[in-house]
Amino acid sequence: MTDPAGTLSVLIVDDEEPARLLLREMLDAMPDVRVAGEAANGLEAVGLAAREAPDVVLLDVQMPRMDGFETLDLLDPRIAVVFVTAFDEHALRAFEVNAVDYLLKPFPAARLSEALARARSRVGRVRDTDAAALSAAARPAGTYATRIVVRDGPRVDVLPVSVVEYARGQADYVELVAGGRSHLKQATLQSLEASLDPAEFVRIHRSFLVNLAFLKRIEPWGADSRQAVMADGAELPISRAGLARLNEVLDGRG
Amino acid sequence: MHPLLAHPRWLLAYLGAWVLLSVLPAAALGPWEGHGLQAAAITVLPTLAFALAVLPSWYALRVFPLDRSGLLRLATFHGIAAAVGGALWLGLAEAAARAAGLVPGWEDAVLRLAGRRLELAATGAVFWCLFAAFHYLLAAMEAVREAQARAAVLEVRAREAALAGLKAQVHPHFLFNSLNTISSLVVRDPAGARQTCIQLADFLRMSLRTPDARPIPLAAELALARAYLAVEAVRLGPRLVVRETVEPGCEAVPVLPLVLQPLVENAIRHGIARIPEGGTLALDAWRDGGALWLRVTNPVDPGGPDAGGGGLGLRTLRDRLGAMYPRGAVLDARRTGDTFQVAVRLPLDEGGNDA
Repeated sequence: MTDPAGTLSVLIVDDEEPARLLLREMLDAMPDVRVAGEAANGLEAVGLAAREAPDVVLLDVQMPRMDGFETLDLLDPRIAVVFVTAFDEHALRAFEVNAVDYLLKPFPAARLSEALARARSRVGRVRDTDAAALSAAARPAGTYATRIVVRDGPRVDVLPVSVVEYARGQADYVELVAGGRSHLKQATLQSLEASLDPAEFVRIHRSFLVNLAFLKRIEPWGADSRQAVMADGAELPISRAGLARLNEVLDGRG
Repeated sequence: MHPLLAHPRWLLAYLGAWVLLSVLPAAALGPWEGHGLQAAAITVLPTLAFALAVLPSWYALRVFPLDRSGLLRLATFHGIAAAVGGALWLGLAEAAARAAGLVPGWEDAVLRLAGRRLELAATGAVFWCLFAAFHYLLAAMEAVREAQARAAVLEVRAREAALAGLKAQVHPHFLFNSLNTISSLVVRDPAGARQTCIQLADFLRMSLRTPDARPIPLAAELALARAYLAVEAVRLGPRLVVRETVEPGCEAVPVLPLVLQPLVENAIRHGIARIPEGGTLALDAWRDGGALWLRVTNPVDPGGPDAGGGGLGLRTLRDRLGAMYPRGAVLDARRTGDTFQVAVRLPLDEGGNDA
């Protein structure tokens, strides 16, 4: 990290080599900017960002395996992010709504300078962009997340939503249970619920979201309560509102 | 429901026509000389009753359509039906005459039928034939209207599909990415920048060809796909490998325009571009009996849940294939492990390829 007057370190993230070369060419010509590295995908970007601690990440939106939004979710919130995209009407709407800085390919060097100047003015401040909300806004209506990225130290796991059995909400993170393992993710249960298909994932309790594919049975618990028994044997409480939601979805399936 | 009962006005017109037809039996039973009212009672009333009584046989007539029933079956059915019709009409006329005979001063009404029953029965048989002819006319008109409506729907579908095909062929994302690629080449590889410009221009020019539905030689489709792949090859670099195998003699075969390019584009957008290491796009064309086969194969990302999608593009292509080759076209899209493959069969004797 540098002081606002010093050199700004920038990480380039794009899966296309010509696009990376162009950015490097433009950045090399700027006197107070240093290229901290280049990454060809989100996984590389997360590792490089952790090692190099750049001030700014120039982040392509459409990338294989992990897109720009998922990558943003795993980046240190002190790093400023400028999205770069060719054309994606949904992403553009998401940027507008969330006031995130972005560049449209192809762009002139002056436009890149402007974006970096704005980023420089924010150096040291914590980013308040909600990656989940951004990602949700960038999805066409009626479509849901198909995978969830979680970071465990230097390691990044990409979980298809279909393997997530249930999620437990904690204070400011969510514990995802999948295939006998448990993954922690910085997010709220509410934002996770909003990104998933409500016909598959049901909030059965303030603190629990279950994948119906792994729900084994609902059984009585105590005087007039119910609990959910999951495929892995876990017993999860069901609230009154949760039972209503559960019945609604299960009835809807006929 | 009977079409006449659904439209009260049609029913009135139908009955009106029968009132006019009752002139036939009236003439047979005349002269009436000042007994007009009696004539109406004995001829018009039974005719109207007959007209209503035969309406339900509408459904029986549907079972014997003119064009598909066979002459013997038709003749037998209508022979019997005409005999029944004649008997029915005669019976109705008898009843009407008997009823009229109850009216003071009309006592001789029944006598009017004496010696004319055969003619009256013949009139009934003629009435049946008229009714049957009327039915067949209505049925034919209905068939024409249905065929027109169906043709109109098909036309609209074909147009929509053509338009969707046109819109789908040049994705804005592809266009802007290509411009960015060129922008990147300008300083470090001016010759490459110019080359890519030309390839992009070739692709756009071919894409903007007048979108008529006439078949074009496979060679033209291949040229479009190659221009597209050339631009993508610069963008993706070593991540894209293309292997093209076109059997000799295929290039001249006329094919549906834009049959190949959407498949190639899908293979990149949903397949190779989503794999960090990229992969090989295989493009095959060969002839097999009465058909030309086109096949595009590409790897898909093992971790990608929706890999190999491109649902809309494939659906559009399927519609367009159906419109041009109503019988023998095949579009088979399947994912086997980490490989996605689309095969298209274009019958040589359809789609304007007939000699």
